[in-house]
Amino acid sequence: MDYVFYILAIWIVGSGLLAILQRNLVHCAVALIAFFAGIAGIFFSLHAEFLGAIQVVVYVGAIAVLILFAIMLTRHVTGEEEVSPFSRHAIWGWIASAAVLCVLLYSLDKQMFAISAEPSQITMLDIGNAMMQRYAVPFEVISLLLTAALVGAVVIALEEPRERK
Amino acid sequence: MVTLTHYLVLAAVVFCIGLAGVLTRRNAIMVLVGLEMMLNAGNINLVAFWRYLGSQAMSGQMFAIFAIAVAGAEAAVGLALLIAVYRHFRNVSVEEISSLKG
Amino acid sequence: MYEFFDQIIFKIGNVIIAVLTWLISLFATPPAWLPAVVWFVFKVVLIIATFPAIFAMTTWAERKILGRIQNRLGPNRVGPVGLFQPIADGIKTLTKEDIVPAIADKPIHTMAPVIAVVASFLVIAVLPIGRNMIGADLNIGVLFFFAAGSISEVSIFMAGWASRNKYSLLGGMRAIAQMVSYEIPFILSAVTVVMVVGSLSTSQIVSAQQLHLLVEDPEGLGDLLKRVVFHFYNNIGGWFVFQPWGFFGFVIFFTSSLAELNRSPFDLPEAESEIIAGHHTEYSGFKFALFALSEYISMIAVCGLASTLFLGGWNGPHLLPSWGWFFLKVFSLMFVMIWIRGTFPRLRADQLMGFAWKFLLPLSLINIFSAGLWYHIPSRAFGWLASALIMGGAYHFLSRGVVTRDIEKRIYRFA
Repeated sequence: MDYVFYILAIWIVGSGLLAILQRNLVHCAVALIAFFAGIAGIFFSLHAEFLGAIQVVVYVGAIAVLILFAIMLTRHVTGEEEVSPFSRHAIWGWIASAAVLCVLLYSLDKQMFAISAEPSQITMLDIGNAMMQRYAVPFEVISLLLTAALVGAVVIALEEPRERK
Repeated sequence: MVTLTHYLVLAAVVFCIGLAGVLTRRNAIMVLVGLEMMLNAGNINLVAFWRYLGSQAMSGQMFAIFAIAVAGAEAAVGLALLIAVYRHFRNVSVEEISSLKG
Repeated sequence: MYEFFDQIIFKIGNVIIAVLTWLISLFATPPAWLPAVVWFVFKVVLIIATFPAIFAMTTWAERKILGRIQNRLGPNRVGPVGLFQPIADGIKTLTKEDIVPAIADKPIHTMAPVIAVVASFLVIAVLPIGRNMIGADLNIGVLFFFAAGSISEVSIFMAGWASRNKYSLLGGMRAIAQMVSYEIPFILSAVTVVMVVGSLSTSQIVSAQQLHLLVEDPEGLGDLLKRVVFHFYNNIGGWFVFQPWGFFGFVIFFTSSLAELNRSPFDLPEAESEIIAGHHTEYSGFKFALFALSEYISMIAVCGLASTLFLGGWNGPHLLPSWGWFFLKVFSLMFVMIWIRGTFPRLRADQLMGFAWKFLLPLSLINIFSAGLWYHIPSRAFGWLASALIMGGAYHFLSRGVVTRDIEKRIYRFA
């Protein structure tokens, strides 16, 4: 099943590069959706089916749609941007991220993990039990955070009163 | 044979693509897109470690679930902020919103 | 007899495998992976062949039923009672010129209908069509359904945006806003079933809706009658729709699925009188047919999930084969959808959003609570009553919020 990983890896890296290199913002968003789907595929290949499905529901169904909405509300509807990511000021960004990549790969090389996976089946039931028992406090904190984010997003994005403009 | 290293290399590459997006794009929406990609790279690592080292503990999967929830909250608030900023400045370029610089 | 019809698909599959094995064994020893691969191909071919055929018949049935409701004949030229109309339509769409607007974004414009069709077919895989008949029995089945369904939102936005047409873009934005809003009650109403069954697997949800009452020592005619009654009760009595939370969950699920499918009365994204045809204004020929295909396949799939979650799936008295019961339920729900389309006026945008956020969302949250109460109260009758009281009260008070009472009496001066 090696080829599944390689296909997914090429898919993810390709769509990820497309997502940050294109000038048209909507094209970026569409490539980003492909990227999220590829990550979901990686989760499926790691036998974390629940996470794969959650990845699609949250990222493709919610975050990508939010990003599309933000593009529609802030830019020209065609999504064209004037500045290209290859302009002169961007070169330092590319150098910095290439340096980070080198550091990450270098540090990885020294401690080679050649451990093969023990097949283990974690069912939905285990995840549910863990969430309600061992991880109950983080679970509650996350739900509070999400509620706060929901309220905050609504308050921030609400139209300002007219007289202040 | 696909080992843990394969997944770690993939995650590192994805992380740096996201980082490049954050550093090179001027549009704040694209900065947010880069951030989401970096978070996803982190999730690949968490799930790969869960799978290859001690899969009974489940902490890897749970961390990834919480990371996804936090990413959702971050995207919602971030994009709401962007819309508010756009309404004020008529622009979402991170270099031109610099009133605080004085 | 019942057993034979119930197992007919398996018998066909086994015959195919036997014939293939025999054919190969004439030349070499048949490989061990043969049955698995044949089953895989057989399943895929069956799904790819059956559901478009149902789609074709649904378009005919929809036009015929709508015609009946509107006091006209509907299609009646091609074949007996217009039965071959879908074939004529198919030939027409295939031979039509495929027009792409000059300023359209061509790659995304082409990708959108393909993604829509793929998303709608993915969803079919987790539906248990009959006893042991399921494309892929995932342990995250219901979640997979919602995940694959959320891809179709993106395809509609892509279609609307890439056409570079104001009407298309408006339709696409309307569709996304509506689908994101209605997805919440859509999922929350299904959560009740998942919670009570304790599994996301669709096949386990179906088997949880069977009861197992047995008659001890069946003797004589009276016991035979009792056995028949028990048989009916075992196969019908366990459906979740007969519990108060199940009934409300079913109604919420069905209502919000109408909005998810962009069907009347929630068809604002493709409202003909306002924005031509919404996101598929600029599509013609085969791409338009693909959009129609994906819409109807999603309709079949959503009706299938509704009957799986609330109407007992393929469970039913052994008068019909299990897949017969499944399709009977699906077609009944689809008939109700067509009926609604023929009789309800379209909502306004503010009514649409208000209905989702002020009524369906709180009602589905309270429904989850009442399902939990029902599950934890030991006495079934008392639990039923408590759940019914909570849901009745919630319905009564929440419905006050969406009904506008202060409508002034209109005076028509010039009419």
